[in-house]
Amino acid sequence: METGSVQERVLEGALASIGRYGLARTTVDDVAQASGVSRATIYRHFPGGRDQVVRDTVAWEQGRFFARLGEAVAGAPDLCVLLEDALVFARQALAEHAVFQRVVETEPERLLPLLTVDSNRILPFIAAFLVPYLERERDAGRLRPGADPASAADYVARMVLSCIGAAGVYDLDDPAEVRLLVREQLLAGVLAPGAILTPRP
Amino acid sequence: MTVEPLFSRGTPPDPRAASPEVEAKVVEGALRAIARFGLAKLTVDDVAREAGISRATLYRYFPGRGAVLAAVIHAETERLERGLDEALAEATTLAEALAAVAGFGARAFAGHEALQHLLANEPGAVLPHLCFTGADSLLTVCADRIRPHLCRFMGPLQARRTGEWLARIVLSYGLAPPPDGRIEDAVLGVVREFVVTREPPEVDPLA
Repeated sequence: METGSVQERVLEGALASIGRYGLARTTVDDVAQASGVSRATIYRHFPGGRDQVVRDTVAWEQGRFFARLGEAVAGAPDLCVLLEDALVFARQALAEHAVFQRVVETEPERLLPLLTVDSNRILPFIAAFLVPYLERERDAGRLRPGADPASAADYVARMVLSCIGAAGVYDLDDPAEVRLLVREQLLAGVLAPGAILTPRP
Repeated sequence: MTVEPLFSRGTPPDPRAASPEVEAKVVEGALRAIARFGLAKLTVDDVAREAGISRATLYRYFPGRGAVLAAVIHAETERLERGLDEALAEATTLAEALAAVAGFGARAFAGHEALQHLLANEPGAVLPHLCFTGADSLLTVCADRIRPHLCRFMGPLQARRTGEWLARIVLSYGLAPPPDGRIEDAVLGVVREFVVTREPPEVDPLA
């Protein structure tokens, strides 16, 4: 069997185990049982044992979450629509992610350090995803004059991540508020003033 | 474990509270002790020693670690609010106000020794108060405090949203510092580049 697929089976099994037993109580035996991969094979692929399996599973699922998000919004016609779609998709996917919801409620002190350490990976990932869209806006003359696509991408990535985590004053289930957030906060200093069509409430 | 909001306008910890002087000593002592030892191993004795008061005095007013920490949280929320008021009081233009909030927030976050010790050594103790629902409470405290100041320059809804936006920026760079580690420079830079440059709407679109 291919190495990648064994690893993925272990990660899938670990994700299911974490959903059932939590981050602290998931054991290599649980993962072996859930994945159908032997303990010995798990240790061969994850020499750090239980802790590594748990850590890698969180990072892997976080990466998959954002990859799915990228796929879901990639066809958007412009940056405003892309970010509106992204916020709606991400908020909903997070709300429906049963394992995340359980663990963030019961073991935030274990989960959040893993997510935060890994968001050092996630931020550049989101920024790199956004750069071509910002370059396209620049080429169409819609970027604010003087704005650099790379630094704008870093800023937008940070703020998107912030809004996915905490909606704050916005009701992100309401499309009108999502449009307001994207056009009057998120992109207001990134795109040229005339390039943003102000949403009508 | 359910996360109680760390930053919230709750009632002060105890009605039979210590004098403001003793309370201030205890809070400062606790912050120094957390900056040195962290939270997991923190004892009331550590706090008493750092505060320079006797164990008995400390226990009389703060029966245990939980009471000490509640006083610290209450005092720190007030300090945050006072700091925002002071930073904003002098601002005469919107650009100055935005930079004042950003600069104060970044310095408060980056220069908070107890917070930085916990982020580095016991992130699990503090991240629940800075992410997801915890972030929501912190953003609300900041937005509510900033709003009346920004109302000098824009409508109340937009002022609240802008206040929250500034808090988001500080929190993002605080939790994921730029590669050179200079949080204040980064925060002031993006506020200058991406927040000051925009034109606030004349009226609140949802008002």
